[in-house]
Amino acid sequence: MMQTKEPSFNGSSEVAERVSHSATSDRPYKFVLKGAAFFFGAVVLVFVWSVLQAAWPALRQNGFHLITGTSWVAGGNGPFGAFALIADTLITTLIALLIAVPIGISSALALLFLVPPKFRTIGASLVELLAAVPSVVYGLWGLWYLTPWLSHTVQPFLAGITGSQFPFSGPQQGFSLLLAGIVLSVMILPTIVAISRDVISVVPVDLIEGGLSLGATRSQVFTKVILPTSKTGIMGAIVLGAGRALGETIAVAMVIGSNIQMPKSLFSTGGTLASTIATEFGDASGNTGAALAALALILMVITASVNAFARVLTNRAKATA
Amino acid sequence: MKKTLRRNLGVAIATIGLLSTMAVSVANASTLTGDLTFTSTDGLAAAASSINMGGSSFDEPFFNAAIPVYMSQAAKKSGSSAPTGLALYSPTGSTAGKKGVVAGTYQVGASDVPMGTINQATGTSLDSSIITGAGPSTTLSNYVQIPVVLGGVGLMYNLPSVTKKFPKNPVILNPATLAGIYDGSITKWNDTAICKLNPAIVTVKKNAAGKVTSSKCALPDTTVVPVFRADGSGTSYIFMDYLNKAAGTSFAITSGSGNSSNKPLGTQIFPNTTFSQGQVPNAGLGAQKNAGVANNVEETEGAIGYVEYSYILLQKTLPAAQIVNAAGKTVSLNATTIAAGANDFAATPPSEGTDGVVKNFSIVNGSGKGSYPIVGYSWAIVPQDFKTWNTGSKAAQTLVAMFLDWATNLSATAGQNVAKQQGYVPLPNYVRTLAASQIAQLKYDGTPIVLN
Repeated sequence: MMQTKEPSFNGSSEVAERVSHSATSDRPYKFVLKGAAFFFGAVVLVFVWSVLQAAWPALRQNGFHLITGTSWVAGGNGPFGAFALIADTLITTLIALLIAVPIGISSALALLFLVPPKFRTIGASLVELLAAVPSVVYGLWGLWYLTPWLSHTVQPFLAGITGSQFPFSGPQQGFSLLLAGIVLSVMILPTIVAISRDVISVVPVDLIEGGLSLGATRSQVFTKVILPTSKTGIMGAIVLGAGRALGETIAVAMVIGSNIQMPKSLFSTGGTLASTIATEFGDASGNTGAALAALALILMVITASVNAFARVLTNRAKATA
Repeated sequence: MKKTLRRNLGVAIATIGLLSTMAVSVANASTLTGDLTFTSTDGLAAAASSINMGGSSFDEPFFNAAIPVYMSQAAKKSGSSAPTGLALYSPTGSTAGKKGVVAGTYQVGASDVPMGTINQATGTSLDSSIITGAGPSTTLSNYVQIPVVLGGVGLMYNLPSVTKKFPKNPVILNPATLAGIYDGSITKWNDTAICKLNPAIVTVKKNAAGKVTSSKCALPDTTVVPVFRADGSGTSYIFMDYLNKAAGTSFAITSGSGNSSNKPLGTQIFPNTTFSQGQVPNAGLGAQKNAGVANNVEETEGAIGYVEYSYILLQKTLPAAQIVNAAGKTVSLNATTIAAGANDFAATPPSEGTDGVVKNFSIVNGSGKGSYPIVGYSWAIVPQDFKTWNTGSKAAQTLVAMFLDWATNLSATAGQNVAKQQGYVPLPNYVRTLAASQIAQLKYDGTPIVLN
């Protein structure tokens, strides 16, 4: 398979050498660049350090129970067990991805190959518009328009499918993990569409035309040529979407029901790590503040792991390519 | 929140209405209480911008109507010497109000539960975890706690079919059914206990001769969704305090997730500012602030939630339940019944001891026949000495004292009248006496604050 050459500094030592052997007049410029890089690194370190410091009392008090414990008693000195919060965070993100990934990739393909050219710009600007909507607006939309729709239409329908059994059991009140997942899916959709479109659009035309000329159908070209070629980039789109879903705060806080409990079904109410921080920080007394900082730490670890996981996948994809 | 906008509009209209009535009464009243006298040399106008007030969302409709009225009244009295830069009140919740005072970010923090209240479950101060660090904020007697409003907590509910068919018969609930709804033992609106309390809400079938053949409870088979405060809340405290006193041991965790390690099933719930996990049923919905509770109730059929009366009054979209009080009478929520509820405790008025603990502040479950039982005072918590607290200038503290003096005054142009317009009840005289003596406790660098 043809490989597009990526610019890389360690790959082209010539360039690096030429950059480092610069004229004296470049020195201030280099100084500024290096300074900026150090500053950035320092900010990250100070940030992580201060979150750790803030979370320390809760880490010391609860230890591993912070992750495994199922009881979260806020507004005092605990106990703080964030298992339900972690579960809710992962469940809502997963729902969002399950909805947004297929729709997002399909829309990207459609925007590039199926939609008549004059509508492509319209489609692209619609996607940009969605991306520019502030999250609180998605929250309001979820609260006012989706809650009644879910409780009157979607939830009874889903409950009908499984006979009110898992995963569609429990009260049908709109506010739920399901609703949070749906709102998140709409929020991450523009990210997935825009990035997938960009990476698919750089698939070499020769490949596509080659496929077509060999007698492949359009759908075969999509699944056998375009998607495999751009899967690294699409994975990147999904990870960015997941990152946004994991950390989304206010929109989730508005629709998830803020009743922390072990999730029993997709209709359960609950709270994600981020939404709980938003709900409880105002009156975080005693060790609650430290526990909320610990939640932030857990969230950071989850997001970092997702990124690392994506990096591993990407590297593997590169190696096999 | 679209309703909140509507409500804020309501506040604005009410305020304008109030101002126009005041224009008349000011002309009649030859003597104001002197509270609104400002001079060009007192420096109070300049200090206005350094004052931050926030806390209890129970108080928000009051403060945010009162602050603009105060400034316009002051301007009427003192012209350009009057303060114009007072910021509006931030409804961050009672616990956040207390924390703001401790941290020095609020010069006035409001809470429905006075600072230093004892947690009945543990016997220690509810605020032991709030009062941290060092300095004057660690000593309870260094806070001055001033009652500012008297309000009722209403149970607003969303049952459109019942409200439409029986507009004159708001649902009646008693302590046992309320406790059952909030501890999860009652899950449906047509629960026999609720039906029994509501003989007027029935579907009656008659035969040809007009004789009643059957009458069936007309409450729907809808799941009850108790909406509660997910953040620290004085309104939660008042509500739990009421259920604790009125329903007693029957207010316990009998269902819900019950996985709270420190409060096993069947344990009586003591009043606190937060419902802990496992203390509310899984069907319950958490919300932030009074406005959030009101919003969630509006969006959810079958929901019921506890909010300050003004949120029901100004929102006008959903009814408040009638409550069976301690005397066994059914009372609805209005200014008269709230005042009666507070008046049952006239013999034991609230007071602040030398240790700084406010005694007798709880006025729930009054014994009178016409008393609405879920009522409470809300308190402005102010550092006693801005100098030692390092929380503001003398001028700022003087302005705070003058504002609170005006806010607790009964005259037609003063704060308690604004409160009345917003759905609160003017403070009884014996409580205003306490307010006055508390304001007199304020001092700067040890010297008592003198009002203009």
